[in-house]
Amino acid sequence: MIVIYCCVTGVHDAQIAAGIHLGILQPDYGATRIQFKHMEGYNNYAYYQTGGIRVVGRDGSGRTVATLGVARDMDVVLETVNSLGRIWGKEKVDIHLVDVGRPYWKTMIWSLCHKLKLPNLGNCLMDGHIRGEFTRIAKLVEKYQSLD
Amino acid sequence: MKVIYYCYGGSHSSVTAAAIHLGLLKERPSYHQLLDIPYFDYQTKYQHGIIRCLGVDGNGTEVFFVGRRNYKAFEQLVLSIADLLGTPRSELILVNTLPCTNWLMVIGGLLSRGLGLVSLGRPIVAWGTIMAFPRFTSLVKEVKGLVSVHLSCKESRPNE
Repeated sequence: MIVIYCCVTGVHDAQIAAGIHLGILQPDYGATRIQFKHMEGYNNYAYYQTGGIRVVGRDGSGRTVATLGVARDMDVVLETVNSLGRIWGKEKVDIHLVDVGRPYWKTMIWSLCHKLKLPNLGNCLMDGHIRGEFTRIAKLVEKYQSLD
Repeated sequence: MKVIYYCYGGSHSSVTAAAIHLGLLKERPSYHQLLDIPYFDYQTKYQHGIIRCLGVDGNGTEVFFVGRRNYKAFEQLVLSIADLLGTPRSELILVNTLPCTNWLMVIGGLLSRGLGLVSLGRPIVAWGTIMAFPRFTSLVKEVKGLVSVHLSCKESRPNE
């Protein structure tokens, strides 16, 4: 089974969800910047620009955990993934796309800050966003950690 | 071998290129010939992302088309999924048909598919497609060249 966490950029909400899923981030410790620093791809502008699915690791039950940036097009991504499964005759491959959250305007500002060589400003904005969303993301991930 | 032509809506440029690839359009088409192509000016925004097969060419290459809207990482997504499903990337050619379009196709496509003004948009997009036909033909020629190179490599190294 492959669990792909999706957000606008693939390096924010999705990255945090993947971190919680794999136990790299602990929901009990709260949403602190020190915790976020343990996530290699978090706030990573280069990863965002590259795009595509990034495999973060495997959980204890052998599920592959990955992240994906979907911009505004979650529906397009869903249809594409389903179509590709059909094309390659692999309907039975379990790919779960999980929409973690899409704070579009915040990520646009984050991206703009990076383009303007003000990465810290953008990263601060997204840190604040993630702090507010951390509990919700942790609850969402719980469901997929126990998925069969 | 699979060739996927993609554009914004999967209704005009990608369908036209796929039709040329399959020999459904051999020379600059008339308005009615264009509308006779399956799926031409057909898809709505709810069908974006669905990869449809238009047919199989003489070499056994399956020809697909899709609308990927503005999703810029579409190619990376498809290639990543290929990796995850254990399908070799070399079995796949992704072709962006948007560079072949002209402003008539853009306006006509927007009117017909985006705003639902089919009777106004369809003739405009069809006219635009007829005007841009030589560009589509040369793109497909390049793609067919790539496919034949790939197939000849495969024949010379059958064990790979």
